[in-house]
This record gives sequence, structure tokens and C-alpha cells, in this order.
Amino acid sequence: MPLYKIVPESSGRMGLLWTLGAIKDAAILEFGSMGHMLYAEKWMSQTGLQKRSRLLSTHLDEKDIALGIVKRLEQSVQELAKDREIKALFILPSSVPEMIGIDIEAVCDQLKEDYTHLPIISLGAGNFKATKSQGIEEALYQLAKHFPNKNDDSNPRAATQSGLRTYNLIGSICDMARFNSDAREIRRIMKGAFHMEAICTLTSDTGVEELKYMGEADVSLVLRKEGVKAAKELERTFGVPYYYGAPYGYEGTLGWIKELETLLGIQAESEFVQRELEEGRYALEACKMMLSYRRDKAKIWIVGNDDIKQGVSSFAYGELRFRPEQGAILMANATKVKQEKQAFGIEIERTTESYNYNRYESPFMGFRGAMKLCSLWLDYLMD
Amino acid sequence: MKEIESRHNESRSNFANRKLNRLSEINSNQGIKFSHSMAEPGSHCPMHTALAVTQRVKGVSSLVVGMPECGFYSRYVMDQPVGKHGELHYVYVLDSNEVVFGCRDGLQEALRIMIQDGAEAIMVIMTCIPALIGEDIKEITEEINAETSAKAVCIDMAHFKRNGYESGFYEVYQALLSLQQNNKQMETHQVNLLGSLLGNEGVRLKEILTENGFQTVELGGSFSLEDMGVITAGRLNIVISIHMLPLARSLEKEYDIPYIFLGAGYSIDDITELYQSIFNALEIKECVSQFQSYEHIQSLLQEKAGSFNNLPYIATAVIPDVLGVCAFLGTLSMKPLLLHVEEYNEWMKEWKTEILAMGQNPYTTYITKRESVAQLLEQVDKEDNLPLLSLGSLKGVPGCCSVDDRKVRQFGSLIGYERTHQLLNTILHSLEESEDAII
Repeated sequence: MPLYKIVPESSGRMGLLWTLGAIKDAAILEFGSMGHMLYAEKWMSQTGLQKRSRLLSTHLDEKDIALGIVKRLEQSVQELAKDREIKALFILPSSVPEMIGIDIEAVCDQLKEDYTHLPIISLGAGNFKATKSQGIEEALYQLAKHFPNKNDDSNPRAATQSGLRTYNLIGSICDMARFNSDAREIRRIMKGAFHMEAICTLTSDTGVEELKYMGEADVSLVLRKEGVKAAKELERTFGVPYYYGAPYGYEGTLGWIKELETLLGIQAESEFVQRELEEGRYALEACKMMLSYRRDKAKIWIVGNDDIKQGVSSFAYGELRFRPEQGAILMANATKVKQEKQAFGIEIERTTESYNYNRYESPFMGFRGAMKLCSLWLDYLMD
Repeated sequence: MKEIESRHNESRSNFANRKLNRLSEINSNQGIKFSHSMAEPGSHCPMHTALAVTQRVKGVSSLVVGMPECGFYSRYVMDQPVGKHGELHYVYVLDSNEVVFGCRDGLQEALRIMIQDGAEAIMVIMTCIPALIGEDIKEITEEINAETSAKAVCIDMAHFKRNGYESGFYEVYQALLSLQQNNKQMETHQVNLLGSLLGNEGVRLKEILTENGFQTVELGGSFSLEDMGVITAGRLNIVISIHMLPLARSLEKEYDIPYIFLGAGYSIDDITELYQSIFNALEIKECVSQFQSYEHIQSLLQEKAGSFNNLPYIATAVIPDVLGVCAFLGTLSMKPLLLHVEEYNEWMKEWKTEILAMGQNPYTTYITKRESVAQLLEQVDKEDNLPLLSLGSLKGVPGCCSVDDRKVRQFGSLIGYERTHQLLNTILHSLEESEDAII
């Protein structure tokens, strides 16, 4: 029975919106009740992303519903098409039109013919079963499918012209607590270890213009499983290989770099890697030492999506000697962390109670993420 | 291409006729059209305000029934599943089967679980999809009420039935009466104040009532469900907040408690008459000169009445009784051009009639893009060389002076002469502050 005593699961529609809502010069239009978009705006405003998509809603009334009238949608698209600052328009599925069976895709097909200068993307994952994960996957896939330039004579991106190797970073989505910091850490490592530059970061740091060059990248780095479908599309269409995996912990990050060395056929800068390891040694050794002293406190319980759960688990339970038990450190979403007052809570996923005001917060991924996790865990172990 | 162009032209030509209805064309919420084709991002739905009110009532639990979006984002309001006094705030998210076949069994089970967990009074808040599939949640709650000592009541907060969020206030206050289970015998010395009595005049009114031996029960801000039982014993309901008007009507119908809607009065005569009715009903020998603001408003009107004459204005802020304000400003010969009406209810018809009787018939709309109001004003008849006033923030209209939303809320929180004085004073200040108020 779908009774929730705490925050319920988010839907496919929410996954779509949270993914696409971060794109700088796009607009998302919902043909549905407007209360949802106001809340969505609140969510996006709390992500700390200052430039993001415009969120709009048509609202609808009983007459629209009874007669299946889509005029509000048509007129809204007509108006948005005049706004030259909007580079892409996403039509978000909404529960009421889904319920009454309005074929939004068919309406959008007509609108696409009317406004050829503006990419109008009608999104799936709006049904009543779709999960947040399916919504994120659908959104990332649509970006990879519709936006990269397919013309051979298109102007290559400046980075490609200058000879720098490039990559797409796929899966930095604002449902994760440190999504922005994690992406920044990956970019820092890629620069330091491989002298590579990101073409775009899907989706926490990209505009529609950057999306056009995804097909030129040397590789796609996929941080979460929802990004694999998009990466496969880029591989299929443009031959861009991909690597799926997120670097957590020191061993995890070294392993991740090694995999990329193999895939890219180049050696990472050993000086950079050694410096990073050296820098983190103090926190890592301290953590190991305290864990040996305080076995009674060496417990971590992780509740989150598969990728972060697997990544942090391998660091905490494998590289370090924490035990997967409840009653000590809890890594979970903000609501659960606040509710479990007895535990030492660390927020790993965002909820309505999350505020990302500090865009320079430490990451959880990579070398600096490992250092941050060690320091957080030490706070608990030494208390 | 020609076809598209012609569609654009058709849209432009339809703009004034279809989007901007005149007040005379408004008979329900359905008549209030959007000012623009869409909202960016939108405004709150009535579920939001319903939860905001429920959260402040001690002893009342809530159950939001709807889709994941309703359930998830409603936690911005109900951030804790257990309230300060043990109230429970749960969510029932319809699954894909229930969307098709109904949620009767699941919802009944959910209510039983809430009752087992300790909820005694449950506000069941129905959102768009349950309303759309026609689930009879009222009947479901009645069945639960029959089998337990706890009580549940359902309110229909489907957003597609209105534009705004005002019904969240109206319906929760009214539904609270159905949740309380402690009817009292009439106390001849108890007066209920429905809404918060603020400002000097509010304080003075309370003093007058107390000095004359009356005990006041004030429902405003936070209160408890027990208070809802207490007010069933009142001798008179003085309605301060328009949001409590449906509650007052229910109290009159079900408990024979008369009410006087003090919030209805803006003019000196109307306010005086309302106070006199209160004093007569309570057999109090007082007169309105008790209120300092009575003198203030009289002086202001004697000195400045001419400043309001023929002054054109628009209202962009959410003013729940905007038609009441408009009817009053009409008596000062101010000219309404465009009004944002958040929601229209049948008891507002009296104000509408008064406005129309004055020969005024402003455009009435639900403003979705305040920054583009200038575009609307292009179609509004206005006399040149007159200042334009906006009740509510407004940018991008040259020569317009506006009373910002905060000040609009300030006068709305007061009562009687003080409220009118504050309203007019604020308008005068805005006119004075605007050096370039000529359009």
C-alpha cells in the first residue's frame, strides 16, 4: 500500500525535470497544474545552480480536461518560440494529461513542424509507474539523441581545434548532495591526470550550445547507471567510447584512472597522481588508526542510489575497515539524516530539506572526496 | 509560414477579447482567465495553503492523497512526519492500478494505520488525480468515521478547479468544524473572533469586549482543534479574516451563531454600521469614537479626498477581498483598470454588483507574468496625463507608482478604520514618492 510516513519516492517526471532543469539556456514547459512547477522552481533554486532552465506551466482547467483542449500548450509554445534566448524547449509530461490520455507527442510533432528553428523535445517517462531513475535516464538519452551535431562540416569546438583531448561527463544530476563538487573534482582529475577538457557536464554544467559538440569527444565518462543509455547512443552515432564508473576512495579513484588509461591508451600523469595520494595520506592513515582503536564505532549504514552506495561501500568496507551496520554513521538523504537523530548523519542525496548554498563544498568523489569522507568519519570516530 | 503568421495574428487579436474578461463576465473561477498564455513558473496550488493552515492547528493530522509530485513537494510544508503535539503528517501516493481502478481500499487501510498510530483528527487533502478519477473520498472518510472514535474529513484541493490557492484557506477552516467533537452549550459572554485582531484598533476592540464582560476566543495564526469546539459555544462570531467567512456561515447554519463580517467594511459608514451591529448584538453601549483611527481616517479624507478623484489603478498583488477594496475605492471615484483576482466566490457577488452599479467594469484576470503587465495595459483604456497606481509591485511600466506587496499585506492584516486609513495613507505615500508618476 502506497502510504508514506516520510518523503515518498520521486517520480519519472521529477527525474526528467531535475535533469533538464540544470541546462542553462533551455526552457521546460509543463502542460498541467501549475503548482508543481512552483515547487520544482523551489527545488532547483535550492540546488545552488544560478543559471538553469526556465520553468513554465500552462495550467489547465476543467474545460481543457473535459474536452481534451490543448490550446494552452500550443499558444505557450508559440510564444516561447519567439524568444530567441531559449535554445531548446522540453515538453514535460504531466499527470493530468497522462490520465486523460492526451497525446502530447502528437501535438509536439505538429509544433516542431511549425517552429523548425527551435528544438522541441517531447519527453517520455511520464506514466504512473516511471521512477526517478527512469526519468533521469530518459532525459540524458534525449540529450544525447537530439543535440549533437551530425553534420561533418560543422564548426569543430575550440578545444578540439587546439588539439586538447575532450570528454563528456554524464550523470551529474541535482538529486545528489554533492553533484556540483563531484563534477568539479572529476574535471580537476581529468585535467591533472590526462590534460583533458570536458565538453559538457550533463547536466549540472552545460548549455544547449555545448551539447552540440558531444559527438566530438574522445570519451564519455558516465558517473551513474542512468547515463549509460545516453553514452551508448553517442557511441552508436559518433563512435565515442564510454566508461561507466564513479571514483570513490583512494583505491577506487586509482582503479578508475587505470581503467581510463586503458580505454584512452595514454598514461596518467604520475606526478599528479602521487601528489594527490601524498596529500590524502594524513587523513587516510588517521582514519585507519582510529578505526583500529574504536572498533565499537566502526559502523556505517548507507542508504542511497546504487552508484553512490556501491562506491562509498567499497571505500568504507573494503579500503577501510568499517562494518555495514546501523547505529553509528548514517549516510542517507537529508530527511532521513535529520530523522535519525541518534546517528552521525552525512547527507548523500538531496531532498526538500537540502540547500546547496556553498558551491565550493568538498566532493565525495575522487581524491579530495576520499579526503573529505575520511575527515567526516574521523569527526565521529574521535568524538 | 503564412498559416503560422495568421495564427499569430489571430492570437493577438484574441488577446483582449478572450484573455482579459471584464468583471461583468466573471461568475465563477472558470471565468478568470490567465493574463498570459503561461505562468513562469506558476503559483501555489490550494494543497499548499491547506497544509500550511493544518500545520498550525494543534491536534490535526493530515494525509495528502495524490501523485508523487504532490506527496514529495508537500514535504516543503510538512517537513516532519510527526508534529509538535503528536500530529501525523503522512502521504498516500496512488499507484498505477489505483489511478485506473480507484484507491478506496488502500486509502481506507491508510486511514486505519494513521488512527492506529495515534491520529485522532485527520484532514484528508485530495489533489488533482483523485479528483479527476472521481474517487469519493468523502464517503471513504465517513465510513472510517463510523467505525472508529477518530474523525477524518476530506477537502477537494484539485488545482485544475481554480487558478489560485485561496480555497486552501477557506476549506480547511470550514472543515475543521467537522473534525471537532466537543460541542459546547452556548456561553452568553463568549465572543468568537475569526481571524487575528492586530493593530491598535484590534487591541481596542478586544479591550472593549473584555471591559464589557465578554470573554474572547480568537482563531488566528496557531490554535488547537479544541478551540474549534469552544467556538461552538459563542454568542457572536466577529469575522475578521475573509478566509474564515465559510466557517462563520457553517457556525450560523449548524449552531445558530450569528456572525458579523467586520472585514467587509472599508468606508467609514460601512465600518461604523458594522461596529454598531456588533455593539447592538452584544448590548454594549459604546460608540465608534472609542477608536483613535476613526478620527485619523476622517481627517485624512477631509484633507485629501481630492487626491483619489479619478485616479486610475490596477491591482497586481494577491488581495483576497480585492473586489471589496475596489468597491470602496470606487466611492472615492478611483478608476479600476485591471484587477488580479486570485479566486472568485459567490459571496463576492455583492461587491461585484456594487462596482458595476458605479459604472465601473475593470478587466479581471489572473496575472501570471507580472513583469509583462505593461503588455496588458496597452489594451486598457486609460486617460493620458493621469498617474497610474498599482496595488502590488509592478516594474516596467513608466510613470506607474506601486504599493509593494509587503505594504498591501500590512493593510490587509488590520481591521476597521485603521485598515482603511493604512490603505489610503499608503496610496498617498506612493503617489508622493513617485516623482515621475505621469503617463
